[in-house]
Amino acid sequence: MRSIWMLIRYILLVISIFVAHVLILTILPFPFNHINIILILFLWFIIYNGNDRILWLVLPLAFLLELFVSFPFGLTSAALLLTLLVMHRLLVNFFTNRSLYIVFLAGFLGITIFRFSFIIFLLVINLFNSEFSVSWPEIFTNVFYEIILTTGVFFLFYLSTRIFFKRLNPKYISRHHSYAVERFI
Amino acid sequence: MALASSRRTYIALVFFLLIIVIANYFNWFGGIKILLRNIFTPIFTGANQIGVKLGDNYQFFTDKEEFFKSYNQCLGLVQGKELIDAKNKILEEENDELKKQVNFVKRTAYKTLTVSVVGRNADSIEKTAIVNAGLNQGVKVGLPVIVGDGVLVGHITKVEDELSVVRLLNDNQSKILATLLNKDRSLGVVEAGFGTSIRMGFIPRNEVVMIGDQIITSGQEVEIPKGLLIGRVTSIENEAYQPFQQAILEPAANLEKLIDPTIIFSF
Repeated sequence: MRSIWMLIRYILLVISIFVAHVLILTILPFPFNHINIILILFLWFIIYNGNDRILWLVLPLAFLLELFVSFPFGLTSAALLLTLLVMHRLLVNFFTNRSLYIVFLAGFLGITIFRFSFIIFLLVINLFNSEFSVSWPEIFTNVFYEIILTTGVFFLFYLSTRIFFKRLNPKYISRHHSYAVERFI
Repeated sequence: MALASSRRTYIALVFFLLIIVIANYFNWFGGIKILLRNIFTPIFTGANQIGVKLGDNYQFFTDKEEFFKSYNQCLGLVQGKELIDAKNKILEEENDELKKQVNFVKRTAYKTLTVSVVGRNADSIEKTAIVNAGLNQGVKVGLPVIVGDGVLVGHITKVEDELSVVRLLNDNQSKILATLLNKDRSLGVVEAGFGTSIRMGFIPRNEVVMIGDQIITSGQEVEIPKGLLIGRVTSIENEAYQPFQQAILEPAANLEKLIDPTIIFSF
């Protein structure tokens, strides 16, 4: 029963992230529609809970994305998976300090790795398939907006949730205070 | 221990991704893909409709004077609106009649199919529209997509059973052979420019291009007929050190607000 409930929660989470992504892309005006909400949310999950179980959500989400893009199947998924694996590794094993600088760096690195791995995969496909010829100045303009906006929004999102989470999480009650409470009891 | 567990997860994820890509290559996901598209297409459609509606309402003000000026203009517009509404009813009737005539003329000249836009691109790096016709309706890759009275907005780039993806003119991968309606009838390639603009490149430097010149399709591509309007020239870049000049265009149709475009099958 518990695992079914868990599965439903995961499916709902995937659908919610996908819908949020679609709404941002479609409703927000240029250049704000370049905010990559998928990456923001996944980086946030990794920062708050380094558990690698969350990475399993990437596959169904990427599969949904592939249904509505014109790029060859697997390109977006591969770039997204690669980025999140690298970022998970970095955030769990190397950038373990959760300072704001690290969060900012994580946002910047995440979106940069995603877009540049995407471009590299596109280049590789270009070698075999001339149909996917691209205008590089245009792509780099889009990438520039995406990196700036996604990093900024991720930083602000983390900042706002950090304040909220820290205040309500009993883990953050200082040792001094807990000792005082204990003695009082 | 945790490191080894993470490594196992990474390997498993990459393995499953490969399985998914291979399965898709052999079309094992056919039914699932159709089911998921049917579930999520209404979300795309709804979001697209909201986006089109909101597109008219975004306005940014830099100072108070500008805001009040716009506000007064709005008041004036509202007062004039009632008068326009009355005229609009008469025009609607005329318009219906004209549409029938235009459709008749179109049907006799080109074999066409009018479709609805059910979504936009799912990746911010591309500019595409998803329309509700696919292989089952006879759509194939390369067919031109128009709006209004023969204004080109893009071409079909991907076809599924019931859906197709239209690559819009301002997408970074779009390239259309075009003719400038100047004295020399210059040929060139229309492709995406920086931001939301479109440019026409490969125009010989010795040919005269004027601001306001119209650009039409050249008819040199198998699927795209000659004479579909693309846009008009808004500025020209003719540098001495470059072999060709290029023109920046304003598209004839608003590519952000497509609702019911038409696919041309044959001509």
